[in-house]
This record gives sequence, C-alpha cells and structure tokens, in this order.
Amino acid sequence: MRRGGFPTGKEAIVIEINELTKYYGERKAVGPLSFTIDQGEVVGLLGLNGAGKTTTLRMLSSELLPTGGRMLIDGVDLVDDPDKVRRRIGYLPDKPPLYGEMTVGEFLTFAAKLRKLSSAKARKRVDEVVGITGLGDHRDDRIDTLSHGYRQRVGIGQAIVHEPKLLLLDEPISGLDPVQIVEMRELIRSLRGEHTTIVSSHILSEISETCDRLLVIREGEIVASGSESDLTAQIAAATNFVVTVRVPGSAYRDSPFEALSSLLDKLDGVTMVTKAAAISTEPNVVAATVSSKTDVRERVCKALVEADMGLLAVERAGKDLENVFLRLTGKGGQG
Amino acid sequence: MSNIWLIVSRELKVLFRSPIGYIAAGAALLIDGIWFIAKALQGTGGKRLSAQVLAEFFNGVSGVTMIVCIALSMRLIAHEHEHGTLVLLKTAPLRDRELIIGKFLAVMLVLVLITGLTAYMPALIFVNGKVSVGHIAVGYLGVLLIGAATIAIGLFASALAKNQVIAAILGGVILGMMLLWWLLAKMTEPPVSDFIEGLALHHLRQKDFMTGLLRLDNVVFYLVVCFTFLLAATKTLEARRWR
Repeated sequence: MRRGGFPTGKEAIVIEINELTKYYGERKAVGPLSFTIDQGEVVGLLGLNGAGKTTTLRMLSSELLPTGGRMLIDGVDLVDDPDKVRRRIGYLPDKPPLYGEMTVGEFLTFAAKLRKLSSAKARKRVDEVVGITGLGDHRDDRIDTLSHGYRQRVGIGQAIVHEPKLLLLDEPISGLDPVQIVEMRELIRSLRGEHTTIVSSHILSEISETCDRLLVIREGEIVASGSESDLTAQIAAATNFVVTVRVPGSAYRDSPFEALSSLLDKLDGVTMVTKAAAISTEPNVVAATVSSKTDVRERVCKALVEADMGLLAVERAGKDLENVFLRLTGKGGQG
Repeated sequence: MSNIWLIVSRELKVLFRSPIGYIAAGAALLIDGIWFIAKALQGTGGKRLSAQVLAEFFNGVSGVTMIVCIALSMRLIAHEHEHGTLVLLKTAPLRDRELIIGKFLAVMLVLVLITGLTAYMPALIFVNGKVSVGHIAVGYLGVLLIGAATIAIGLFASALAKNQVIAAILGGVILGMMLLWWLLAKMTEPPVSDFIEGLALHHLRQKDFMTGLLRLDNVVFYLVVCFTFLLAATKTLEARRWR
C-alpha cells in the first residue's frame, strides 16, 4: 500500500520504507516511518532542523544502519545487501564530501571508479557530468579553490557520476546565493526523469518548485504528504481563518470585538478566537482569527448573518504554503 | 582488489602531493643518519664489531620508524572524519575492510620507500666491515614488521578518534603501552612474566632481528598484532554505522 496520499500511477516503486526507526541511545531520531517513492519522482523531504531528515537520508544512503524497520531500494534490502544497493544510490550530504587537493576531473573519476565504473566508462561519464553540472571551465581546478556554489556542483557530480537510480540530496541549496539557488534548482530539475530523487530542506520555498511531491517530517514522523496544492488543500479544512465584520452599534456595549468574540466562542467546532488586525478606520469594523479543527466557515457565516453583523470578509489566515508548513511542523499554531 | 588499489593510489597521491610524505621521509632519514654517525659508528668510544654497529643502526631505525608510522597513520581515517569525506567511502560499494587494508598498504608502501632509502648506511658497513647480507635483510625485516604493527595501531586509533590530534595521542598511548609491557613483567614471576615480556613490541622481539636472528615466533607475533589492530579498526568503522 502506498502511503502519503499522492496518486500512485503505474511507475515501478524504487523505494519502499516500512516502519523505519532510528534511536540514538534512548532518544528517538526517526520513525516509525513508512512511505514509497516511484521511479522518476522528485520528492521533497521537508522539516525543521532536527526533525529527522538528515538521519533518514543517512539511513537511505546506507551510511547509518536503522534500529528497526525495512528499507527496500529497487527491491533489494539495504541492510541485507548494502553493496548491491550502494551502486544504485548517489548521495550528497549537507556538507559535500570533497577532496580539496584533487582537481574536479580527478575527483569525479575517483568517485566513478569507487562506484565500480571501468576506466573507459568513468572517463565518458566524467565528461558528461562535467557538462551537466556546468563545471567545464573548472575541470582542471583544484576543488579547494572553488566557490561554495561550484563545490556544491562537484558534490552533485559525484552523486550522479555512476548514474544511480536513487539520488539523495541533503539540503543542496543551503548556503547558496540567489543566483546559485536558481542555477541549482535548474540543475536538480534537469535530473528529473533520469533519477528518482529525494531532496531535503527546512525551507519550503527552496524545494516546492523543484519537487513533484513533498513529505513533511516532524519529530521523525511524516505528518503530511502530497503536492504543494494537496498540502494546501489538506490544511484548508483545519486551518485558521480571519473573519472581518462590521458590528452594528446596537450589538455591543463595551467593544465591538467582544461582541464578535462572544458570538463566535459559542459556536460548535470553534476552538479559539483571537483578535486580528482589521484593515479599516471605522471603529466598529473588527477582525478575528478563528481556530478550528474542522471547517466551520459556513457555520460562522450563518451565525454572523443571523446576528445581524455585516460580514465583510472571510479569509484563510495562512495563505501561503510556508504557513501550511509551519502548522504541519508544529511551529505555527496560529497560522 | 580494485577497490583496495583505488584507496592505495589515492592515499599515495595525498601523501606525496602534500608536504606530509616529504617531511616524514626527510625527518626519518635525517634522524637515522644522525643516529648512524653519532651512536652506531661512534658508540661508547671503543672499537666495535661491524655486527654490533649494524645492530645499533637497526635499533635506531626501528625507533624512528615507530614515530614516523604513528605520524603517517594518525590522519588516515580521522582526517576523513574531520573533513566529512568518510561518508563518500562509507556509501560507496566498498567494504570497510577494503578501506582499512587500502589505507594500511598505502602507508606501508611509504614505509618501505623510506626504509629503502636508509640502505646506504648498512651498505657502508657491508663494504667496510664484515656483516652478512642475511643480517641486513633480517634487520630490515624486523624494522618493516614493527613498522607494520605500528601503522595498524595508528590506523585503529585514527578510526576511533574524531580528529588527528586525538588520533596521534591515542596511537601514542597504545604504542607506549605495547612497548612497556616488559616493565610490568618485572613485577611478576615466571611464567607470567615471560608471557607479558613477550607481548612487548620492541624489547625482546626486535633484539633478535637486530642481531640477524630470524625466529618464526617473532614474525608471527608482529603479524598477529597487525591483524588484531586492523580487525579492530574495521570493526570500529562497522560499529559507527550504528551510531
């Protein structure tokens, strides 16, 4: 069964993770985690720092062994037959593993041979990878003389040089300047189709444009999954919204907001009402953020109309995906 | 096998592209030369037999070799760990034992090269005095064996430590303990003392090699030390995958 709510399609499943857990001593870092990823998909692993993204990728890359659960990469169990799986994986950790004293060409050749490519094949692939990553002018430069952006490209180069089926990129955009970010996004996009890719990040905007699907991870567990629009829709039903009304003078004694608040507080499903900024100079126009676990907008609107309040606007509090992300990761309760 | 040679060739490039290899080789040759002139040739003043001069030469060379081997091996894994490059090797289809053997062989080849460059000193004794080729060969075998054991110790320390300084200290401490078993032996009675004395890396074991006496138990001892520490280094790397 596919978890995560994204349409399945007919592609072959490349990654199948089942009840994966990782403990550091007594502390749980990841899990239980279950998901599948289809061939050619670009999936974003999204979570705040410490959510378990890097640990998950380290396990998928076979650098780290899990405490429990199974990881099947292309049908092969990663723990049972790591050597076989490692040939199919390309991994770029958050800090690219580069030998500074080597030139770009030498390093990529070394990385290719390390992944069992013959000398001839390695030469051919290094030529291709240098082209794909835009490193042509720097092929003979020592890696320690390159800028951060180019080092990151070399990092991606070593990860794809052996044409892996699965590509794992841990925060590949972190620390890049705006121009480099755009270039890196294009590079990752250009890899779509050739590799099944997992890109991790703690910044939603960095990967939402690049990925087909997002897995939101919190405290080592997946709390939401789907495309950008799926996630927005998922959260819409349970989100906060802001209601702006004109309260008639006859409806309040002390303040118009209290009148609105006391009305909304009585409604079923409303968990909290807080004051919001109303964009109006009129003293009796007020706004409130309504928190609820289910969609109570219709109920609220009906109650306001019955109470003879002038309903001016009903808007979702968090309009952008960043707010969705913050809510899902538990850091933005009020949207 | 190709994996091992890939690691060996990379390590050799690192050693000879950076000053590390040249500094280690230069320092070793300088100290060996000084030792040869000041201690082996001059000695305590009186005339000495060629064999005694040669034995003293090997005594000095074995000491210098241990220091050089710790210096060269401390960086092998710890440097990779420190610079985040170990992950490249750990996620490649490369077994941990292949990595350890490759690193070990690379430093071993450097040791053979450095040791080979000292050959002019015994050659001088051979030409001007009376020593056998067998004595020279056995003496060098002893130097290479104690060097190999020290590299294995240093490699284990390097696999345990997270940086080179700690690896050097740890390697030095383990080596010191391995050298000083004979002091502990003095506090015990035979046969326990004989056993403990036999564990000392240099004390009795090297004496035989220095004097040109080739004994199988001495060779086996060094090979066992080597194997034990290389195995420990491999297991340390494997255990890290759980942490």
